[in-house]
Amino acid sequence: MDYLIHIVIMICIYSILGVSFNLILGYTGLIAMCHAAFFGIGAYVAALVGIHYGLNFLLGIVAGMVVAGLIGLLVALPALRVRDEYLIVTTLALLMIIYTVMMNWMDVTRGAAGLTGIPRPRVLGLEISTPLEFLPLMVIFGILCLLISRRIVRSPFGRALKAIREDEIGAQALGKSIGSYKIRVFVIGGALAAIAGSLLAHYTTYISPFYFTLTDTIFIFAVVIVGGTANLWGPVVGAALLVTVTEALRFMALSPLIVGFTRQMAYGLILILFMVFRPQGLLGEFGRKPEEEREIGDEEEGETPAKERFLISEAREIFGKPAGQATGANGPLLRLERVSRSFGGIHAVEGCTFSLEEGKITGLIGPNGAGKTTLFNVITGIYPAESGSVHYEDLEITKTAAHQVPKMGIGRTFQNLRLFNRMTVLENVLVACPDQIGERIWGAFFRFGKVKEQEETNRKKAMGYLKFVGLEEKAGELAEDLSFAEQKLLSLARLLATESRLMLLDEPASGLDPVFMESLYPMIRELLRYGKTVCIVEHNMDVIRAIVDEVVFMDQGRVLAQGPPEEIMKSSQLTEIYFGS
Amino acid sequence: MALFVQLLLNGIWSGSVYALLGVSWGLIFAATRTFHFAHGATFVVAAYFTYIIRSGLGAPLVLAAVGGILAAVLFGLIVEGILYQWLRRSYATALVIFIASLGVLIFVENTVAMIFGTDAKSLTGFPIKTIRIGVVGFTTLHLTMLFTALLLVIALMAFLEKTNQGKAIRAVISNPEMAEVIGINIRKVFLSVHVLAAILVGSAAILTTLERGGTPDLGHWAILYAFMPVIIGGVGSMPGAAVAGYIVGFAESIGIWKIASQWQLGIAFIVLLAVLVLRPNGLFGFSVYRGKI
Repeated sequence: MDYLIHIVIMICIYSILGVSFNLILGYTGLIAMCHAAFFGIGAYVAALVGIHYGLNFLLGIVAGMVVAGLIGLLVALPALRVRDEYLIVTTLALLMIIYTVMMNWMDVTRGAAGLTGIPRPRVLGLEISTPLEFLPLMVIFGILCLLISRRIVRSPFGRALKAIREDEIGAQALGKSIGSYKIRVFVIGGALAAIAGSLLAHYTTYISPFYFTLTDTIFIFAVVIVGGTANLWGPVVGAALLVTVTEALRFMALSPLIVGFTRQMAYGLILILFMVFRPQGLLGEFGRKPEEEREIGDEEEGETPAKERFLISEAREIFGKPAGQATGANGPLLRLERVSRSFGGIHAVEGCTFSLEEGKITGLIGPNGAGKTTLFNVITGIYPAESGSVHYEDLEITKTAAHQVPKMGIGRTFQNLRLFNRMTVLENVLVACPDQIGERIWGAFFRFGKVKEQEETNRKKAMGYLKFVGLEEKAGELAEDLSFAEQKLLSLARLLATESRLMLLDEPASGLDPVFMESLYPMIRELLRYGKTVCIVEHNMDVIRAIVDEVVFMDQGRVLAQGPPEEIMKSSQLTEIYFGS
Repeated sequence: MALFVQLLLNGIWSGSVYALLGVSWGLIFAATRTFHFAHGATFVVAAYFTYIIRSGLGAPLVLAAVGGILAAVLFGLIVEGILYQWLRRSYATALVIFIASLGVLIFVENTVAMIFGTDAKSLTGFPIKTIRIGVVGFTTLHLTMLFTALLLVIALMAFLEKTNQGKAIRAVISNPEMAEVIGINIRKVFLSVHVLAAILVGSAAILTTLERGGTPDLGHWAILYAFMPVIIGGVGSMPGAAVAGYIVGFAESIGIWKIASQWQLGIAFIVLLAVLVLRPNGLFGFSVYRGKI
């Protein structure tokens, strides 16, 4: 009986490890090799606090979380600033160094011999010692970690994490600071893993460095992957399955050494086979999709004429009263002066000077490779200008970080859309809403009511934007399941949700059929009535003639002309460049 | 002073192995953008095949070494040609490929451990002689390490510069999309990169086994010392990875002057963190093309 309870306890401990690692690996898509190190740090800190100071075990748990969190911060900070792959390296090194410390810091850790005599926890004056007594404690902590994880992934913070996993640059263009999110979730995950370590130390009363090696990190990988990444219950299922199988192997009449290796080989094989045949794990991120329902929905969509998609009459409901077209009395909204940017000797943009008048639609035209998209990237801070300056109203934003630019009121779309494919249509729009309290950890956990209230307003607004572009029926579907045209509309709805004043549209009409295109333009014009300013990259000359107030003509990284469309079209020199005739 | 020179020399020997590890892994990473964890498995395969051919079949060491490297090449081709290309065909994300690669390393390390045990296997037959110059000393094996590393890295550079396949590899490194557009066979490039890398990492494995004996867990030791030079040197720069390999070697061996040898890894790690903080793109790095925005 005790043995069965022991197995349940181990499942609880590995569930905590799996759930915490799932935040890092599953929801954020970060690869860290040091989860066993966090586990170990929690165990050693709790053990030392217990042995030397005899403090309450809860204090030991907190101490372990703090130490693990701080060490996690130290390793994540330099690595995640650069690129994700670097985290693999620094965390692998951390894992091996923590192991070295456990093995060699004899005075404190007693090396390979490990720490013995770790005191049993006391709750309300009673000592907890038998597995049966431990069970409630373990279950409580397991549920606590599950609840914390649930809160994180269902909060706006967790939504932003998923957006970052799906498309970093897309998330950045919505004002999310990528590095900050990754570091925060990595530290939280590490601190939660330390809880599991502390519990293990108090439960077994003996720990040694051999419990916290690469092998154990791999086991935690397997727990998350078998169960299903980015599924709340996935790691629990994975832990239950793998712990039971591991324990069952003990009963086979094999030498412990052989069992150890076979287990390892099995984990390796599990990782390979799951990646080849079922990368989403047993549960998968979304459970089963309602296939049939979706097909019916698709048919209905086919009958709706595309022309009636945009419900301009709805606009008033969403945006409120038209604020009136901005007059531009205070000078241009955006001003570029002699902006240059090169890539390895190729001048993508060279000495560009032009300005965007407030309340107007400016068309940025020119042949392929003229530097139009690069200019958008320069303005939004993805590739900051090497020389020259960019001014937005009276602020210089030349060197402003890419995630700060959207917060100033500059939004954009991308040619390749950069949607968050494995998130629902509604989530794609919600994540774009500005100033979300729930995107801060403190807000998500301690300002519950406020977050809920804001979520409700944002949800209403988001449904409004989706209605505006005609996608409200699809709100619950994954973005990757939409047709290309619908995805384009979704990227527009997402842009609207940022409430930007200046909207940079990168070829919003390319790849759409003509009927559809014609219905797109009244919508863009409609935006002006609500005080927006638009800059649009476009190839279709009919479109340019129809809706654009001002044209900026570019070729080979330079601005050749700026003026009203009729004037630019008349210039035979420019048409020659453009059409190459 | 003599001690300092001796430590510098020690740095050269270990740096040579790190350079081979770094250059080979860096080549794969730059060309395929795959975080090839199974590189450590290739290392183990080379070491143990050399050992089997030498001790089991009694072949001369040179022949065993050639056999070990061939096994490594074959292994690299299997992992890339079957596993990775299968995964890429099903649009696997980088994360999926990484985890599969991790699985390969764990599987190979433990299979080897099960068959051969975890005790260190030594390769016999190398004519080790100690050479003394004044107060410093080294062995013929140390010199072999240095010359093998220099020879292979220079040969690789020449291959990348002079041959058509080498030029194709460089094109893929600098811009894979464009390379495909101009008709370069990406699959072939990936396979050839794995062949080249396996020759380098296989040599590093044999040298390491000769020096200190081979154990199955050298696989993840090797992978760690393969990553570090690449990050320190800068992704995409082969000479950068080679130089960084020596920097890690020097840092570790000079560190030992004051610090106990078990903390070697800690020293390498501090160099790594310092580079990440001060020069995020590496000492000789340029930012590698990361796709169209």
